Amino acid sequence: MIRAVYILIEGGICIYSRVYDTALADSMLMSSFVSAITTFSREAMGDELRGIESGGHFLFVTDHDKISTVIVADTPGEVSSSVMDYIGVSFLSMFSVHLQHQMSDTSVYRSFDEVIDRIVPQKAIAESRVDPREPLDALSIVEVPRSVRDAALVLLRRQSLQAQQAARELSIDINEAVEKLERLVKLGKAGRKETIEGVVYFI
Amino acid sequence: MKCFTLHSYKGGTGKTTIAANLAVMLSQMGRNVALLDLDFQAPSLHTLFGIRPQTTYINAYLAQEKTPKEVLVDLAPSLKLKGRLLVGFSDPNVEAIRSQLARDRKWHMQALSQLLNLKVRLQAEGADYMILDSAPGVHYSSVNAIVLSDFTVIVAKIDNFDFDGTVNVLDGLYTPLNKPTLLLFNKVVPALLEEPRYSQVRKTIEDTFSSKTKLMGFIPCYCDIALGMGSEIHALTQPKIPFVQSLKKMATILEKWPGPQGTAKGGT
Repeated sequence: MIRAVYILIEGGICIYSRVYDTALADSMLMSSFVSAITTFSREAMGDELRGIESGGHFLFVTDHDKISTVIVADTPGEVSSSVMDYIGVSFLSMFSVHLQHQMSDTSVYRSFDEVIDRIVPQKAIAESRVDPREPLDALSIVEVPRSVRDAALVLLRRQSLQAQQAARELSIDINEAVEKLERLVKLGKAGRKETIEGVVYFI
Repeated sequence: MKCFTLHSYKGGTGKTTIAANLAVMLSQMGRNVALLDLDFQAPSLHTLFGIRPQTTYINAYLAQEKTPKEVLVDLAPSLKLKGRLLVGFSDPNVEAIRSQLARDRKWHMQALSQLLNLKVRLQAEGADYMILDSAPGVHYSSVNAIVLSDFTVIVAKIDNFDFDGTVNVLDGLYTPLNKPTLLLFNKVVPALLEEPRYSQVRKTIEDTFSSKTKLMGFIPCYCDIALGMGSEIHALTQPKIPFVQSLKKMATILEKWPGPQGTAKGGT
């Protein structure tokens, strides 16, 4: 499964990232890590497609003119030179003007999301899993906003559930249940994963 | 079902004695009551009920090793009570206390999950009250109990240690959790309940606590309780003594206290 794609420019600055697995840590922190690895791998392995294993993931780097394309994947077999080249060349062709003028506004690169989403198999996106950052225990519940505490307690009791179940238990509509559960995921108190049955929230 | 915790900032305020007597009293009134000893650091409910060492404790349920049926003992038939009195004792063996102290956050999260499931189950089985005798202070087990409860009875003594500590837990724990509390002063020196001291004490309490909690009442320090040496439940053995009469007023307040509202199936 492909977890993330990064585009770096000279100096190791990350100008674009598409992260499918939010458990990969903060995008900025990850970018700095990717930047350091990219520089190191170039010095150690030259300019070809380079792969490094780190923290249970495989990180692949290829240079295209002024940019470096970086993909984080679960296994080496998921990434090929052609995919890397396609991403790098597509990015260059879409944003060569911006890159030439070294424009500081990186929001323009967001339109590249569509390209990446087409390249990266939908299955990989669907399987994206977010793990909780901390246990949803009593001390943690003190920090949970009151508006989502009821959902936190239902999730805590059941340990894993779907939004429909939370909606039923709390007598609220499903959209509200999804909103509450997603808030818990965002707070790092709950996890989310895709299964055959649908999205499951867990602690 | 009403679920409440007896908690205090410091130990020795009389939580366990009050919890056991209230549970018995409510059961004598025909209510179905479940009483759990969640003071894993210093279990004592078994001593008060005169229960011999048993093989199954509430610890085993929290660890998912036993079912509720295996760890809750119905004392109503032997105590000749009108309602059910299911009691869950905490394991008093030092080894169990030690291992309990070494538990990590994930274990306590699991324990809270188990307690939430037990609450739903007891309610489904027709319990009217779930009473939790918690450890004093801020420990995982006491915070678990508070999170589980609909409200808490904070048992305090009239001294500055308890005043300061109670204000701290009210501000730092109960307010963020949005949990209602009742403040019960126990072991009050009788002279403090007589004028002119009483007015001064009352004013100090109102100034300190009126915006944070609701005063439940005062229970004077009675020698009968000390003479019992923690081996009897006075609601059973000496129902006419003033301590039991004072507690009856507290039971009436609990009966009138509103149950959980706005939650499906009576709470989560």
